[in-house]
Amino acid sequence: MKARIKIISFLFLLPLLCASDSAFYPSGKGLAAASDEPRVQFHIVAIEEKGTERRTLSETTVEGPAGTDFNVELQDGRFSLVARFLTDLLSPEALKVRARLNTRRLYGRSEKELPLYEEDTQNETLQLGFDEKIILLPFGRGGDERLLIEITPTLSEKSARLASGGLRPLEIEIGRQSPGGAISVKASKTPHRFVVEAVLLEDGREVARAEAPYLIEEARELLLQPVGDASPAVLQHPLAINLTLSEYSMTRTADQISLGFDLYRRDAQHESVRAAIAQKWAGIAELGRDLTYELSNSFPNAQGKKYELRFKVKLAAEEKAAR
Amino acid sequence: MARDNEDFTMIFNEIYPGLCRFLECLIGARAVGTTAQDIAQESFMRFYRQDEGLIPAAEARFWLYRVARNLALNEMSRGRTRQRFWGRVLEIFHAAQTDPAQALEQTERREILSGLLEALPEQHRAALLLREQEEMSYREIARVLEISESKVKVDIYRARQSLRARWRELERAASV
Amino acid sequence: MDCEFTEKVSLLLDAELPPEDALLVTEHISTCTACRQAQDDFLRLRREIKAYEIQPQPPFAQAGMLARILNSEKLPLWRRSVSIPVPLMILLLAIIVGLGVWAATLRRASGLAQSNGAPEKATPVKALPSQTEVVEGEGLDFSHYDHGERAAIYKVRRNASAAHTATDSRQ
Repeated sequence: MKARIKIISFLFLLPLLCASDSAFYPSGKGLAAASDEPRVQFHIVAIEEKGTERRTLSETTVEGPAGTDFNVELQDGRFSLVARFLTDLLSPEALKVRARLNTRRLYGRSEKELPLYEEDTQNETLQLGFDEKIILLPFGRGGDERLLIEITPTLSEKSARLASGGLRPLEIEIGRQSPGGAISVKASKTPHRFVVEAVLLEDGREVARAEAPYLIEEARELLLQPVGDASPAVLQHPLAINLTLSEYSMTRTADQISLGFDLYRRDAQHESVRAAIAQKWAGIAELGRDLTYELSNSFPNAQGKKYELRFKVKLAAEEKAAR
Repeated sequence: MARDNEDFTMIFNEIYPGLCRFLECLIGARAVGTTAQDIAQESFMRFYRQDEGLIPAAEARFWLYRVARNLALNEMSRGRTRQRFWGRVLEIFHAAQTDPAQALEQTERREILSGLLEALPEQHRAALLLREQEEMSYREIARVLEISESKVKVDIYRARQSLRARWRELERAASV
Repeated sequence: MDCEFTEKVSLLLDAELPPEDALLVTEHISTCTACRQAQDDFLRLRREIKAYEIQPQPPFAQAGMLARILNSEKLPLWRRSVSIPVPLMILLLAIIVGLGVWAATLRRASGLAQSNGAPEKATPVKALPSQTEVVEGEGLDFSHYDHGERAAIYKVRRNASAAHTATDSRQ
């Protein structure tokens, strides 16, 4: 009796177990929700090093959703540095940080006694785990006295949502202000991830298209694939677009993104053979709306056909969810 | 340590003409006669009395423009008006030395521009003048006016838009 | 009618755009009538403002003013005024008041000790910590650190100090 009951019971329970794993396993919803909307914290400390002695000059913590950007700015009468950091969470263990350093240094005066500045721009991309930190030396490595900025990222423990259900905003906490405010930190959260759709139209008909995810300020190539009954001109010489999305802005009427691109015709037989159709073209697209370029004058062997290139830039799904 | 006379003279000769021009454009019709020069003198007097350690030479320009502009704001808020008498006296003194037609044209251009600038809010006017006359960067302008760089950007743009609209109105009115 | 780029035209004329944006805007101007007109108008305004000449002054007015300033009576130090940022002013006042209260307390304590017949104790000298606190309000002078080198940026393990760092890591 017992054995039979057990088997029957087991047989009876098994479908239930399969149908509802939540009875025996954590639903994971809470965990999933946390990892769906991760938050990152950056601890930014400016330190003066003299020999073995270290003195903290300023301390700031920036905490916000994944994709939070921040600037570290140094300014005195003769020198200024704007270090801009674009951050992206690649995985729960890895962070991508793109740094752009703009330096300006007074180095003398002209014949007319106007100030002369030396300017420098550097770009650096770093991929780091949360067991690593970034060191920025605004004045390089040399000298007995050095200034360094340590940036330590961690995954934040704060929840992405407030009790009301709204998104928790970006937070900046100033632990110690630098003397005279010479070192300052600013932070912002703007979308980094987009989806770009490009379509080639021949006399109003779609003859080639491509779609790809894009990260802001990263160049990437779109290879347009012929669709429908594309003409031989398009089939034999498909288009490639080297595109970069450069600046995102929120205006009163719409969100916009700046883009720049070069357009090439490829040889279908020989991938590496390319002819430029358009170079350093640019524009500003409204998110979700078409941006069209007339190509007929630039398209070789157009033979009276009208060619247009149409872009549409949309926010990536993860960016929409974070809004 | 008090400022060295030679250093001060160099700074004065470099900055004084531009500062007067800035003040005159800033205060507009109210800066008739010696008002702009009065404010410039007061600014330099204060600068001269400062210890050199407090305001190094590289900072002089920003400090002087900041102080001069603040003094000008005080003048404007007090609503002082001066007679045009002094302006006329000066023109009489100088009429013999310049080509009358050229002098008239210069006066007309000065008055037109002065009128256009006067219609701008003071902060827009100050930012635009520092940019166009003194060729300061937005960062430097922000330091002088003690505002953010993004405000400087917006103020200059609005000043330009407003001036070009008014200029067109004048041209249209003149062509009728 | 203006275009949404018109504000960027203004920035372009002031060289306040990063190079890649400047290129974008320049390209745009070549295709946009409204922006070309705005650029022309802004440049014309610039010419007019630069051409503005101040009211003619009496001869030697500038030299006379300079002489007046140089010959002006130098105020004794105690009569000179100095501009101090408000936070520093508050801090200085707090320090002065704090010193006053501390001095008064000491005097009272020593007075009491003396009235009790207890010998005066010397105030112990407080040793300075190795990491000194930064006093708010003093400016930072970067010239101590600046030897004309380019900035450097890299990543390190968290427990590594900057002095013993890995070589620059590039992606």
